[in-house]
Amino acid sequence: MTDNDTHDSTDEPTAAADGGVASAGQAHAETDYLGSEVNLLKPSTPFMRDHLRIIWTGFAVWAVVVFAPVTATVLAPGAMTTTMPVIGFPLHYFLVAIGAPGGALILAFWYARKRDELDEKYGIEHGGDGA
Amino acid sequence: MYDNILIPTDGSEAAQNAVEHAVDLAEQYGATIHALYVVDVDATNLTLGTEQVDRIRQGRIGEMPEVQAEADEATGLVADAAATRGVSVEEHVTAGSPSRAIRNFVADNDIDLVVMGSHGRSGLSRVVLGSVAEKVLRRTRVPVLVVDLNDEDE
Amino acid sequence: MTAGIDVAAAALAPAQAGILPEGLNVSFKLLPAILVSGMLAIFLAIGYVFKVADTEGMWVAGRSIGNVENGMAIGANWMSAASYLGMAALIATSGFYGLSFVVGWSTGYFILLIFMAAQMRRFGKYTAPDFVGDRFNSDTARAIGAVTTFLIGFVYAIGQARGMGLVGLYIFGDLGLLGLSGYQSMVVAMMAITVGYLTLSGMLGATKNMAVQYVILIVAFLAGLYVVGFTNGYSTVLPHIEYGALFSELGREFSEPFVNQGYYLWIATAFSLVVGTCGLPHVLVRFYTVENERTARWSTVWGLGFICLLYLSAPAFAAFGTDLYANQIGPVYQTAESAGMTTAAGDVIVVLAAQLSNLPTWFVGFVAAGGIAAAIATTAGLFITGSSAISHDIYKNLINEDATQRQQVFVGRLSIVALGVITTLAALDPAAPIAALVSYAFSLAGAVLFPMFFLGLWWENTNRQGALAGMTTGLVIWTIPMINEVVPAYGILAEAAGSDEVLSATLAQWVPAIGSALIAVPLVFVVTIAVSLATPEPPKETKQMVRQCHSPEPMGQQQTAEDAVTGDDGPAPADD
Repeated sequence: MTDNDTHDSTDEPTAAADGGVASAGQAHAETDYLGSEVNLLKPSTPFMRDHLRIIWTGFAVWAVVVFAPVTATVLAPGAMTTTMPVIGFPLHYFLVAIGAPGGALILAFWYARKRDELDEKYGIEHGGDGA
Repeated sequence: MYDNILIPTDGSEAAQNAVEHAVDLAEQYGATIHALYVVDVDATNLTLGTEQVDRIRQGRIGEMPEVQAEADEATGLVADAAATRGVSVEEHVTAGSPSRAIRNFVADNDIDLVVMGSHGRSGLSRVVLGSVAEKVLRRTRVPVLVVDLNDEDE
Repeated sequence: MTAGIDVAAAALAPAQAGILPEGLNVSFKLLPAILVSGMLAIFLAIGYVFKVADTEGMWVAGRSIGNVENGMAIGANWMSAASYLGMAALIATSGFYGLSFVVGWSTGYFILLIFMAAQMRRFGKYTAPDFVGDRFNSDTARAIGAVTTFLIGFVYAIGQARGMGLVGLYIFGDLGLLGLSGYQSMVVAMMAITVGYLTLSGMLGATKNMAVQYVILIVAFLAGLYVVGFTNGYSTVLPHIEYGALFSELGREFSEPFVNQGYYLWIATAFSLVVGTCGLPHVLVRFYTVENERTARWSTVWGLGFICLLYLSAPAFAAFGTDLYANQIGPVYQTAESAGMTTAAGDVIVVLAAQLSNLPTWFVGFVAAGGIAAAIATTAGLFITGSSAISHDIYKNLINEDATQRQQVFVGRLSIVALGVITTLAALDPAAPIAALVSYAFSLAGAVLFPMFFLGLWWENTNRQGALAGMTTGLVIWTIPMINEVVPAYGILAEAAGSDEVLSATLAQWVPAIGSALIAVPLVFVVTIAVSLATPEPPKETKQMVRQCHSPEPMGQQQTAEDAVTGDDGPAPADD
C-alpha cells in the first residue's frame, strides 16, 4: 500500500507524548479520538498502536498457519506427505484439515483475550456485557 | 363521551387524512389524543433484514436513526395538528404487526375511540396489500372511525 | 474448472439436465418427509412467536443477546448446503483441493474478527448497501452495493437449490412434474416451498431461530457421522481424528496433493473464500444483533468454534463415504474403465454414506432432512437479504423516497418471487457442484464488497470516487471469468468454448471463477487507493465517523458512529 503523505492532514495529531510517566488510562482520557486520523498503516493514538500490534501479530501467525503447510507441500512433497504415526494421517493433510481451522480458532480466542486485556489497561469498560 | 382517542398513523396520506376528524372530535369532547406509530416488523424484516428486527425487539431503536425519524415524523404531524387546536396529545411508538399492536394499545390504554385512515382498496389490491383498518375494526370492541382516502367512489 | 472436475462434468454432460446421483435410493419415504416438514414447522413456530411477542416499551432496553447464542447464529449462517453437503463432496471427489474450502471457509472468520467485527458494529448501519452508501456519501455506490448484494444472493442460492434438488430425490422421490427430470422437478418443488415459507414467515434470521437451526443441523450431521463411523467400524468416539487410519485404504487421490488441481488454484480458492467471508452482506449484519463490540468479538470466537465443529467433521464424513462408495458402487476416481464418482453423487455423499451403511431409512432420512433444512433456511435468508437490497436500497432510496412500509413490503415480496424464479431456472441445469456455485458468490463478495468494507473502515481517506472506481473494477473482474467458464455451461456462447467448455483456457487457469478474488482484491485495492489519493478527501464528518469506529470509548447504550459525530441529527447527506 502506498504512503499517504500527498494528502495534507489538517488535523494535528493529538496523541499525548507522555514520556512514559502518564498511565495508559490517562493517555486514553486525554486522547481526542475523533480528532485523530485513522489509517491502518499509520496509527495515530497509543491505543491504536497497541491494538494494531496485536492485529498484525495475529495476522502474521494466521498467514503461516493457513498458507505454510500448503506451500511446504509444494516445495517438499516427499517430506510433507509422510504418514504420521498412530493417527495415520499424511502430514500435509493433518496440518491443513485440522491444523488450519483449529489454529484459527485458537488465534481467535487469543485475540479476544488480548483485546480484553487492552481494554483493561486503558480503563475501558463495556457496560452490560452479554453472558 | 371520549377521553382518549387513538390515531394510529403510518405517516401516509391516508393516515393524515384522518387526523382532522380526530382532532376535531377531541376538541369537542375535551379528549386526549394518542398518536401511535407502529414499526411494522414484517416490513422491517423485508426491507432491512431480520437482524434489524432483532435490534428493535431489544429496544435499541435509538441506534436506528432513520427508523426513529420516520416514527417521530409521523406522530409529529398529529401532534402539530393537535397543538394548533389546543388539544392535548401524547406520541407513542411501538413495534410489531400493526393491527395487533394497535389492538394491544387500545386494550392497555383505556382508549375510547380509534380514528384511522384507510386507503380504501378493493379487489386484488386489497388482497395483496391488505387492510389494517379492517383488522382493527374487526378485532377491537371500541368504536372505530375509518376515514377513507378518497371522497368519491373509486 | 480444472481437469478433475472437468472429466466428471464431461461424463455428465449429455445427461446434465437429468442429473441423478448413482446409487442413491430415489423414492418417496414417508418418515423422512415428515422429519423435513417437522424441522421447517419448528422454524416457522419460533418465527411466529418471535414476531408476535410484545415489545415492552420502545425505549427500554430489553433482553440482550449473549456470546454463545449469537455464536450459534453465526454458526447457523454457515450451515448451508455448501457446508453440510458440498464440502464433503469436494473433499471426496477432488481430494486435497477440497481442503482449500475447509480452510477458506473457516479461517476467514479470524480475519473478520480482527479487522471488521467490532468496527462494523460501531458503524451501526443496517445493510451492506447502507454501509457503502453512507460511508462514501454516494447513492451510486449504494446502488452498486445493492445490485451486488442481489447478485450474491442469486448465485449463492443456485448452489442451495442444487443441494435441495439432489437430496430431495432421496426423500421425495421422482416427482415427474410436467415432463421435467426427477432432479428438476425436485428443484422446482423445493424452491416453491422456500418461497412459500417466506410468505408465511421471514423470521429465520432472528437469533433465537438461528440458534435452534444450528443445534438441529449439527446434531443431524454429527449423528450421521458418528453412526456411519461406528456401524462400519471406522471410528468410535472421535471420528474427526480416527479417520486418519482409513487413508491407507482410500485411493491415493484422496489425499495426494495437487493431483488435478494445482497449487495456484488451491491458494486462489482459499484466498477468495477468506475475503468473501469478510464481504458477505448477511455475515456482517450478525454483529448488529448484539449490544456492544465486546460481545461482537466474543460471539465471533464462539461462532468460529461452532463452525469448526462442522468443518472438522466434513473430511471424516467424506473419507467414510469414499470408502463405502468404492466398496459398494464403483471406483471413486477416474480409471481406464470408469469416469469415477459423478459430481451429483459426490454432492450427496453425506446421505449416500448413511444409506450405504444400511442404516434404517428414518435415520438416513434424518441426515437428509438436515441437508434440506439447511438449504432452505439459507436460501430463505439470502432471499431476504436480496429483497432488502431491492426494496430498501433501490426502491425506497433511489426511486420512491416517500414509499410507505406497505409499499416497500410489496416490492420486497415481489423481489423474493423474482429471485425464486431466476434461481430455479438457473438451478435446473447447474453449471457446477454445490461448493463451486457457492464459491462464485464468495468471489463476488470478496472482489466488490470486502475491499470497500476494509478500506472504508481502516483508511479514513477512502473517498467516493475511489470507492466507485473500486467497486466497478471488482464487478468487471468477477464477471470476466464467469463469462469465460460458467456461462458456456448454460449453452450461451457454447460454440466459442473449446472442448474443455471454457472460452479461454489461459484465463481459466490464472483467473479462475472459483477463486477470482485473488486477482480482483489486489487490483481493486490499488485502484481504490490510487483514485482516492488523486481526488479530494472525504468530508470531515465522514472521517470522524470512521474514527468513531476505532475509538475505544464505549458507545452509549444506543448509538451509532453517525450519532456520536453528528449529535443525533439524523443521517449524513448523500452527495450524489
